[in-house]
Amino acid sequence: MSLFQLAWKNISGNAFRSWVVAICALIVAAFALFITIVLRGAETSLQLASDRLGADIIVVPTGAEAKVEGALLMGIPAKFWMPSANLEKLAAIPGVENVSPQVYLETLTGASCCSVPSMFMIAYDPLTDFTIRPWLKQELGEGLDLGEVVGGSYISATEGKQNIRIYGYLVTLKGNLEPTGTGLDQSMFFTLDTARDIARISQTQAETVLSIPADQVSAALIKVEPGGDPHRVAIQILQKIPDVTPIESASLFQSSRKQLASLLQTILSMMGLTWALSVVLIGLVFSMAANERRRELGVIRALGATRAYISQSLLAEAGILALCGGAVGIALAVLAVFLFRRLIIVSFGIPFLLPSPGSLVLQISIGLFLACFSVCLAALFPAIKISRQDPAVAMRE
Amino acid sequence: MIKVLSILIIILALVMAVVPVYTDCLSQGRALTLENGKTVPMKCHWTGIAEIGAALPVGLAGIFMLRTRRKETARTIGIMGMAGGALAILFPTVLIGVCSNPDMLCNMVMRPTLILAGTLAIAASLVIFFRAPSLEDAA
Amino acid sequence: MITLHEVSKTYDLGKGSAVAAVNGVNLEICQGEFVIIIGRSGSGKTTLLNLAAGLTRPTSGKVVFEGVNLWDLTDTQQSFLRNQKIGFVFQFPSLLPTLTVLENVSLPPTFGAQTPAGEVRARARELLEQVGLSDKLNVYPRQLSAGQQQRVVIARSLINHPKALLADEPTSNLDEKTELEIMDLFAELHASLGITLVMVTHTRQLVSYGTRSVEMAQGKIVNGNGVPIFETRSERI
Repeated sequence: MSLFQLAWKNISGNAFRSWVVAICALIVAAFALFITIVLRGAETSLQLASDRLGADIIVVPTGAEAKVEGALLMGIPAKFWMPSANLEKLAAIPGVENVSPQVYLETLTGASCCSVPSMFMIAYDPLTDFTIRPWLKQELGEGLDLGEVVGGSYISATEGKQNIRIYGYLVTLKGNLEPTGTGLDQSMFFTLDTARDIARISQTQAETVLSIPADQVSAALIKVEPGGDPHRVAIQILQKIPDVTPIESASLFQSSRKQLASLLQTILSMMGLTWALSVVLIGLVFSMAANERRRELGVIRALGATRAYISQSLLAEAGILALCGGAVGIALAVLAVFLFRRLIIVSFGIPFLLPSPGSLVLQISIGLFLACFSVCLAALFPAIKISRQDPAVAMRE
Repeated sequence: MIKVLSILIIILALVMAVVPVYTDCLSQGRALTLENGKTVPMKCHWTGIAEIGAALPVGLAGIFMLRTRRKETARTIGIMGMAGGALAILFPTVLIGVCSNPDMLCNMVMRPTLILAGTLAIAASLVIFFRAPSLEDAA
Repeated sequence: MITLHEVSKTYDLGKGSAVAAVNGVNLEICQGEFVIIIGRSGSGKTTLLNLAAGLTRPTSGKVVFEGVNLWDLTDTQQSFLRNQKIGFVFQFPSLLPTLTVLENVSLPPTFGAQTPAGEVRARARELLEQVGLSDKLNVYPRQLSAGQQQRVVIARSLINHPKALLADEPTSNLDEKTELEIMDLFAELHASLGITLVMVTHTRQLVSYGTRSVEMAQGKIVNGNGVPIFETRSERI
């Protein structure tokens, strides 16, 4: 009979104790993996959103920084304006390769048009755009015509197979962008011409008129020349153009990153406490078990088992329980994150994207390792202590 | 172990029956208004009603499992539990569904809870199915 | 075969007090002997047995087994020696409750030399047949009587063909009839296998089963120090 077979027999023969240890391992693994997936998912999501924007700098009216972050991250529609004359001034700044305006609009809240409660709409200039057009070219092979839109991953047709009615205007959904886990997933993109057409039609067809101020834009996306320094360009923008704030992409979503960092701290403290309590509880259980089986272990020593065998057999029991409990905990954590991802986003107020299979495998391994390490660490002291006991003393009543 | 799993299955059946009552759109005061002005519940409400039909065999499976001592009976009960669990998953996903808006409570809470409960019920019933021989060994 | 030379074992009770369970004992046990160590409760006989088996370290003195000082060996060497050369029968139920009878008897080879599992099981079955329990291979210890459990322990103690069998009050928890059955089994094994048997007991009536008796009181041997008894069981009958 091998060490593991003997360990398994002992586990089966002590159901209550085994359940307690396995459940502790389950909690440690599930908690660790859940937190890791959520936080990594939030970071990845932020990075993707930042990459999706494609801009080195986004220029918004001063005071609208938080609104643009809320719109892009959480899909909270925002409307703000700055003079379109700023675009020429921005283009004239040394180091700027391209400037493309965007106009931010929103659908009516609770409108029956939509699979999302209120949709954030982004109108772009097809002549200067460098963020959406590359995707369109790659995925659709062509740009968007008048009345055509692309949506984030949550946007779906509500009239017929391909149409959505916005402000009484029927648009054609040409495709959906890849998920980012941010508000961009519930956004819709179309050209400025389509936006103006929608505004025109809304005056007679919609419950509420969509108005787009003339000579106004919401934001300007800036591409810096290759090798150029976005930070220097941003400083020049601040110096030369009043009432605007340049946000470098590296600093984008800064408040969300800070929020994530603070959430991480809180969660790590909770996790540390949970882990410590679990280790103590498991240690107590194994101490009790070792004490209860003191005589039995003394007999095994008398039969020829070495001290190392005794401690290894206890650690083998711990390892098996950790693996079983940890595996179940991990399965539950993965299932919970997958099923409740929308609730996670809404409850925590953070963006979130499910990890790729490769990343998930790595995180699962870390979770399992943590469970095994915790349980074996807890069992180590009782295992060593009991193995060092004189067999004769151990067998005494 | 079989007793513990039986109790778990009973709890899952209660979750399947009760959670939709508090997490469908009707419980949030939302309903569909037809052209003739009449309001009717949205499909998540009907999914919740159907879930009671799935919860019943699952709950009964748990109760019978607590009392049975025979291997073949335990296996049959296990199959019943698995079927009930499968229905619990199918109602909110394929058979009826819930609202498509991802921010609605039925989509955010009700549907994933039912899928999780159904999955766990299937898993527990599967374990009972394979552990059934131990009943006669113990006897 | 087993020599204890000026062996003492003192237990520290704390607060400056200690008790000498065994005090300066000299004892030599030869190959093939059946030695009965007798004494009242607390006389040190169990401690003496444990010292002879290397189950507890002496406070002073030497314990030599087949010419080897047990406490010059490493834990691994000592454990191997115990596994291969000494069998144990304890007073208390010492079968592992989570293993079947067959698994319990097959346990000792797990810790020692790598004997193929098939060979171990075959030998275990043979021993269980010898002790009259061939129909109980797959039952658990809780399903056996005290006497049957002791028979299984005896079978376990013989699995590795030991040179010596040490038994610590093996019949104290048994009724008289079962006690005699177990003692007859010991006598049969001693006669057929020629192994060295050392048994501790407080029952004087069992002394006649041995080739020699040693009496202990207050941690010392009080008679029979190397002097064989002439009255064997068959002569008494």
